[in-house]
Amino acid sequence: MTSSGSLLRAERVTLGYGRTPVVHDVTLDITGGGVGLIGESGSGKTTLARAFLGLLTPMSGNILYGDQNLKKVDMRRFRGDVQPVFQAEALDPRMRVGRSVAEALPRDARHRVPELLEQVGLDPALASRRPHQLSGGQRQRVVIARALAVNPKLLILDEPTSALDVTVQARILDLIAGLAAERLLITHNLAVVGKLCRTSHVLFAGRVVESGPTADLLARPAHPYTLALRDAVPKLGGEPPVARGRAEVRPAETGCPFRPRCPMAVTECDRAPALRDLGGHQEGQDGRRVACHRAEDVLREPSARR
Amino acid sequence: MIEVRDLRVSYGGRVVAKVPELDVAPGECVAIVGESGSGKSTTLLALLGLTEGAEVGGRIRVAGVDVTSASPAELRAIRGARVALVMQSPQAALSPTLRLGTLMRRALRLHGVGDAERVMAEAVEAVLLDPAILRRYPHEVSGGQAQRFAIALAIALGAEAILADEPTSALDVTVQAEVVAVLRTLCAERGLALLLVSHDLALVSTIAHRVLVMRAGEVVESGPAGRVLSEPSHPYTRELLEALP
Amino acid sequence: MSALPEAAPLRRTLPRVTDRFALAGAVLIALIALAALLAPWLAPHPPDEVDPFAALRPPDAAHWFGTDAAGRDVLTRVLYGGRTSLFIAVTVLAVSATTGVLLGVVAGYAGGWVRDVIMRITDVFLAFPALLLSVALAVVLQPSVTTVIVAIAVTWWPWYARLSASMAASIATRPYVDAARCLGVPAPMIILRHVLPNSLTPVLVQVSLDGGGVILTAAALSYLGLGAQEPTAEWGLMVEQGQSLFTTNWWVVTFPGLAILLTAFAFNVLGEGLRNALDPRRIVK
Repeated sequence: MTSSGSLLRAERVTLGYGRTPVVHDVTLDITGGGVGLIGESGSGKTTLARAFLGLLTPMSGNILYGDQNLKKVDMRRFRGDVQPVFQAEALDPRMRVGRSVAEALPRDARHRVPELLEQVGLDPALASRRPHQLSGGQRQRVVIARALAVNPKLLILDEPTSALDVTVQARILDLIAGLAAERLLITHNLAVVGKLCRTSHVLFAGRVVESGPTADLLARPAHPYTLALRDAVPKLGGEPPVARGRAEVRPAETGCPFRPRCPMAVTECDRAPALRDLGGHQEGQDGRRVACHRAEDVLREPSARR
Repeated sequence: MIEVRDLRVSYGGRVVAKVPELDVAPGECVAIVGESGSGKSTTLLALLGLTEGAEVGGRIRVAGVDVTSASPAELRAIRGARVALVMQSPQAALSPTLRLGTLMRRALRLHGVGDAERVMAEAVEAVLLDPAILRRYPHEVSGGQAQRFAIALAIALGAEAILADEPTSALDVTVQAEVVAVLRTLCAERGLALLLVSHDLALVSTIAHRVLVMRAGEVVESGPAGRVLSEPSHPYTRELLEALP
Repeated sequence: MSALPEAAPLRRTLPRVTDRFALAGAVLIALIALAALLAPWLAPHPPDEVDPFAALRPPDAAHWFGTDAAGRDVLTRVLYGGRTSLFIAVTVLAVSATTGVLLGVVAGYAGGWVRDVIMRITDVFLAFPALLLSVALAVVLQPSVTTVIVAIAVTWWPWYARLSASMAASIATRPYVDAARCLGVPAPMIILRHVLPNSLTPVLVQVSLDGGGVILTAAALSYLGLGAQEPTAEWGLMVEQGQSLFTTNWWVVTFPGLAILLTAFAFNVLGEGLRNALDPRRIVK
């Protein structure tokens, strides 16, 4: 851990496949207490996760592990410290799940497979099954057991529960919350972030548009996109959502990317807004940052307050 | 529109869905809530006589047709034209080589709907789609657009009821909100009967008038949405509510 | 919307028919292979037994398929010829599929310049018409069964390389491969453990479909005098020798010709059946 308390840091990172960038100039720290990365499909959240895992080399910028550039880090040590938890599909369909877990263990520690399965609440007898013989929740537990095998310090969880039934999802989230490792949680589900992450970042079209303490971020969104995301989540017995038919309008190439969808866009938004500090003066509001020219107006919107 | 009594669907003697009573009136939205394996999708398919290889017992009346005794021709006549089925990923059901407009035009001709261009324009507008979408191919549109197109197709064909199976669970929340709003408006303003199958209680609570909660093939609780979701009487309903993140 | 319901029942009944198809192909090939293997016991005469006095006899009780110009029993030579033809087919497929799959999987998984180099090499081989390249090679080398095997294998492997490269490239992006990389599993292990087993299915189908093609190509080479040489019994060679006699002694060319046709057909049936039986759309559900 560095002096800044960051386990892993993306520094002005631009990422893409081929020559097309999908993540633009993102700076983001994974700090303690859980970090959430919120975004919808196409926001670049999974691409960013792959860069944090050292699976994708940035087109520009750096991933820092501790004080060191990931390019120069001893990858053996890094792999032991940082592990992914992907969706339940992250198991080889042809491999017995016990072997999948054993793959994570050194040869002389294979006997720990039953113990690891028990640790995630699975019957060790399931080790001889193949993934399709397990339920979605059981598969997700295997994925977690596999990641835990190396005793990682940091888990990078990419939509770990989105394919599961609600009751199963709740149990998997409890399991994740009880793990000792730190976490970066990538999800489209705002409610999940609220439970598991002290800090959150909202990603839109490959850019961080807002970040800050999760509770305050969700209580007082300062970016119109965060506001739209929060209000689109159906709430039990809540008001039905309003349709505008704009959610699938393409992000703008220049200026503020959210502008084509934004109900509050003005001429000023032709200029791309930089991520700036949002003056928060009460406890729990420090560290709020937003990339919107009209953030102060968004905060004054009556619908933005909860 | 939809009237079900003592429905029993079984495969080889194993009962997978039992629904004692299910009614959906025009302009009403009824939701079947449950997790995977609860029999909720099976129930929906049974209403259109689509449970291949299953023994279906009980009385099912949909759009005035007795589904259990109807001939294949009678069933085809109500499917699509009077009762539309909306699936989780409609793109799979759209022919990949046809532009959406061509597809809709052909469907309208097949069901003998006149003044196709006007009907199409109206239907597309009702679901908040840009008319330009009719010139696109299925792979060129997003999931939310494809889902709304499927609904537009139902409206254009003059459907009186929509049966929707997890219509928004593959979509982003912002897109889901729009699809749900479209369905709601159609219910309220066009008197469409909507039967919605979903695992998402919160979503259901914002749109459904009445709710059936299913578990392992049985209806464990049913009633007005407001009451079931605020004062659940069955422990499973409570468990579902508590599991909401 | 109305399209989906109609399609559902179809998908349920079709696979059963196609599984039977695959089974029929497999049984047919097994029978042919068994007949070839057991030729020494099944054949009514020794394969090289020349009897000038019994030359060009039409089929009768002693020689079911008749005799050829040298008085050899055609049935015997068809059975023994099956050994040569099937040996060629199996060896060619084994060599070219192994080479092609290994190179293809490495290319597909590694990507970048590794893929570029391997794929350019395969492109060079694919640029020549397969039969022409085989013929050229067979002319340069001494005509023999080995020559036929080398000549065909050289033109055959690039197809497997291409097929498995595209499969491997798609498997390489699956989360379970990423997960293995995050565990620090070395690339060769990832390829062997995860990428190879999961990209084999389409190659298996292609191999069975190609069985017939190899037999036909081998027969063509022998027919051109570039493959098996007298007195080896080989179907293509037998057709070559018998063709001029077709109008007068039809049986000399017809029975080996039918054997080629039947075997090629059996491989195709197996391939088509496997293709449908292993269809991912069926496995997904």
